[in-house]
Amino acid sequence: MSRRMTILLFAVVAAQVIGLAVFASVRQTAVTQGREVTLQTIPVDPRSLLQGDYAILDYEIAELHEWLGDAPVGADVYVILRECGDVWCGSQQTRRQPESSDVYIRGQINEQGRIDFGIGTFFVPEGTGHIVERAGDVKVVVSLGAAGNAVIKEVLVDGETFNPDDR
Amino acid sequence: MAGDAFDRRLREEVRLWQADGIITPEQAEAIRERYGIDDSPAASSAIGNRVVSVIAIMGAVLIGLGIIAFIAANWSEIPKLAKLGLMVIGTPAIYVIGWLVGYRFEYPRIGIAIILLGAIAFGASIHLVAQTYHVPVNHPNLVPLWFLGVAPLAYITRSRAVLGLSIILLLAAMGFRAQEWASDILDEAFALLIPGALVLGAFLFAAGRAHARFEQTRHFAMLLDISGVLVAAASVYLSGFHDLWEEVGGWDLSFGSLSLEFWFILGMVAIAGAVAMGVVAWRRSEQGLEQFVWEAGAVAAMGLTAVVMWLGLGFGGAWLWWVFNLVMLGGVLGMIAAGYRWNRAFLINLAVAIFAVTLFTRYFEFGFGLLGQSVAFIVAGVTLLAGGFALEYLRRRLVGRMREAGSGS
Repeated sequence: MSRRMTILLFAVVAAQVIGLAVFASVRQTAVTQGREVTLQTIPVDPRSLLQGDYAILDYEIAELHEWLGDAPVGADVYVILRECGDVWCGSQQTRRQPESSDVYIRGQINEQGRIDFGIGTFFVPEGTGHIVERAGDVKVVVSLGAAGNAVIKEVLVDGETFNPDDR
Repeated sequence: MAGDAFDRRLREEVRLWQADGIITPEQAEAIRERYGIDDSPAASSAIGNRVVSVIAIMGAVLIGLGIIAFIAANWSEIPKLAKLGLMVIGTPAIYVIGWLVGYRFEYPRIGIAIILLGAIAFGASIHLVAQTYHVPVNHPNLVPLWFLGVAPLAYITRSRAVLGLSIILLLAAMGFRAQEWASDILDEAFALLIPGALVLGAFLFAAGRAHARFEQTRHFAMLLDISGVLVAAASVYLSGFHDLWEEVGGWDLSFGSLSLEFWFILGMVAIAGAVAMGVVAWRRSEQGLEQFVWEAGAVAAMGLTAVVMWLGLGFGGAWLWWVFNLVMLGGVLGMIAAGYRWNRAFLINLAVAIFAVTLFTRYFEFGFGLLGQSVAFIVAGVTLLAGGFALEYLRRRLVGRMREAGSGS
């Protein structure tokens, strides 16, 4: 391999590492710097070939208001949140980004006519998905970015942070 | 044995040509690559080299699958940051080992296999980061990112195995992006994406033909040709189903239901294919005008079929199913004719395989409705045996004739 090709090879490898680092840091920033809210959820338990066991999380706030029924699949929807006891629930839904003083979460209308917030998947160690699935009460603590994008911080199973080693 | 003798002689001759300044080191490398000749001291025979390559690549793929399974297990015993560190440091470490083994210690085939492992590990790393932050596996950006990271490596290492992985990732990336292009992946609008595969197939085939015009990339040509033909055939195959066209009449398909991103990427792919054919035209003296006409005709036919398919989906009716079965038949006959004319056995083999799959699909599509299931299975079995024999007989005769013609000329 010529010197030029060797340099190119390691430039591509460096670009791969930088790409991975950027991907991870964007997500990490969203987790650490966003506003924390807790959402009520209902989990089910499938498996991903590439990524292992995970729980699919559906949210109470994902139900689309009737007046948005004509909006196309994939359209952005913002749900303005308000505190309802120990969780946050949806108060209004809008196609426009709300005022920055509001606490809101952004999602897209999915094929089932519900709102997908991009927090519908929670990966768990192999063979522990049933713990989340069978729990009586599952809540998700998410971090909300400035644009309303949500990232999962942790899952609370029956009021406790999910940790399969303790069960 | 004759092949071994030829390889030994060619290896020695190439060394002498290079030493005498008749050819450059790059040309010597291209000749060795074309004939699968390893110039390292340990190289013994072409067959041995291929076996080493295949075994090393299989080893790399197995280790890669092991890494993916490791990530999928999502072991809670290993902290998240340790797992991320392992992949972020481990992936470049694999590349460095591959480079050292391949180009410093001069075991190029093993080195390439280790670099292929690095490319798989890169994909595993992307999915590990995604898993750590609970990003689902079907996220539309994960596989495209993997493809973008791996594709340049194929050209830097000049490895067919890495190019093969890149093509697989490109097709998978298109599949994952498709969920962003159609408003609903399960909706009828998804049918509008099918002709897009023809444009992609035409681009891959055109790229293969352009690669064939340059010594440095000639060894990639067949892989791109086969990929292009298979992707295009898959598109025509899907449009040959009677049920699809029966339902199209009742659908209200709108081209506006596909996202702008789809049309933009489609346009870019079409332009890239046109540029590739421009390169083929520019370098046509390499293989003659007649071959260029055949190649341009094939690419134009794929593009035209895509346009007809879109028009059919937008405005057509149930009768269109047989049009695309005729297109498939025409394509198969064209491939056999091209294979025979240009002495390419793989085209004939591909054509026979595509024809057989299409034929039996049509049989099962209609046979089950017309006959009882038991009779259908018996007739299918007999047809498979007789058809398989007939197709193999025809294929052997064509390939045999081509070889006779090749040795005679």
